Amino acid sequence: MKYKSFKTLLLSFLIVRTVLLPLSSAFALSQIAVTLIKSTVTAPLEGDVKTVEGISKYIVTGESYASNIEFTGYNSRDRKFYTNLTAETTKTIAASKVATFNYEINIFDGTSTLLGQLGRYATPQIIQAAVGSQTVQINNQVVTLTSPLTTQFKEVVIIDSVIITP
Amino acid sequence: MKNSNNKRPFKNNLCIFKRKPILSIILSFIILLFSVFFIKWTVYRFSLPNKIVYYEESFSKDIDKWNALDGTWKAKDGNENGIIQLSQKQYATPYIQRNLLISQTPPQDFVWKTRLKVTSFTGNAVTLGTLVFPTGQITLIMNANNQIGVSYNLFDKPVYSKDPFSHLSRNQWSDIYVLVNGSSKKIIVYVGDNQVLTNQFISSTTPVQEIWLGAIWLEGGGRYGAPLNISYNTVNLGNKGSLPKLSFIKYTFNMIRAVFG
Repeated sequence: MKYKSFKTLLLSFLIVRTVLLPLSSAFALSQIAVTLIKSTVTAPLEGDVKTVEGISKYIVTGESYASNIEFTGYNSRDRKFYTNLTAETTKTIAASKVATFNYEINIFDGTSTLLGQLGRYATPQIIQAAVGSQTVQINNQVVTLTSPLTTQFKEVVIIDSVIITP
Repeated sequence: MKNSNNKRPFKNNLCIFKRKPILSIILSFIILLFSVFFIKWTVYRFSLPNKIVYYEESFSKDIDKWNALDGTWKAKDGNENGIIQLSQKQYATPYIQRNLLISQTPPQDFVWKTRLKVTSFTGNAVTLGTLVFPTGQITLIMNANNQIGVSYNLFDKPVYSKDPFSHLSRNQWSDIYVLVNGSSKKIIVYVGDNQVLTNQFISSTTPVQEIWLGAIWLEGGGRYGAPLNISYNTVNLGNKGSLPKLSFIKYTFNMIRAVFG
């Protein structure tokens, strides 16, 4: 289910502007991309790329975002929420360099109450792309929810930062 | 002349072996087959043990002892007294669940019966009920084509019955029996008195720790959805005597089906 509508775009930008941008400006070196998806469970979710960029102090310019967000399963018994996604950056990655993505996954209910999260800004999840690659597939991410999954829910993936080494 | 005419029909009947040999062979074969079926059916009926119920819930009063998400208790639904209806409202996975005491758990071979009515659900399939053991679980599922099946893990490919009788009628109360045969490591699923599916189950089948009715999973290997309107009237765990007792006709029919596929 792809959300390319203007409304969804607007909503995600709104969230980014009101919540995440002030947060990110507090940490000048960070850059934030947000993928917002909202769906009931009637169909598998597939996120579309919604991205913001613009922390100008970053030395390598280019956007980073999560894409192909897929809701793969949920188990009521242990409240485990399974998801796959791809982390991407448009920053130039030279053939010998490696991009490391710091990211977090948050699950919200229909009223934006946090149901569970994997990784936080201070302690993000970390994944390395292959040498010279701008993208990395992140599979089998398991978010343990603190309360049962609601009919309406959102999965928000934030790429907190991308580090290019060496 | 008159006398011999009177005797002839009787004589002719006896002489059928001579006059129509092929027909008579077929006829005697059928008679033989039916006698064998009859003897087998008699043995089957006498070998059925008396019914023992280890655990039973008929929702006659309420669901206070169960943990429920989007479950509503109703005093009546048609001819059924005391039902629990699951329908997705606030939560993505409507279910009711309870833990069993060790005194309520059956031995390793038992029959799990569920009386339910499926009206609608989202997705490609839905989980109807689950028994949780210490090292595994059995989840009864149904797909959008109304076929009954089982799965043991969220990301497993579900196994559906290909039997034409495995189709569960929507909006109708039906009994589903699962014969859990822990000693021979298999389970057999019945819809009413039709045996529809046999599958291996290698985990230990004792003790039963939890019973779940409704959506235990979403998505996963079976692309499971959630109940929009699924009702339950009874769930119980009993011995083999709780299986439906087949009539001779049904028994014969099943035997013929087993032979000819």
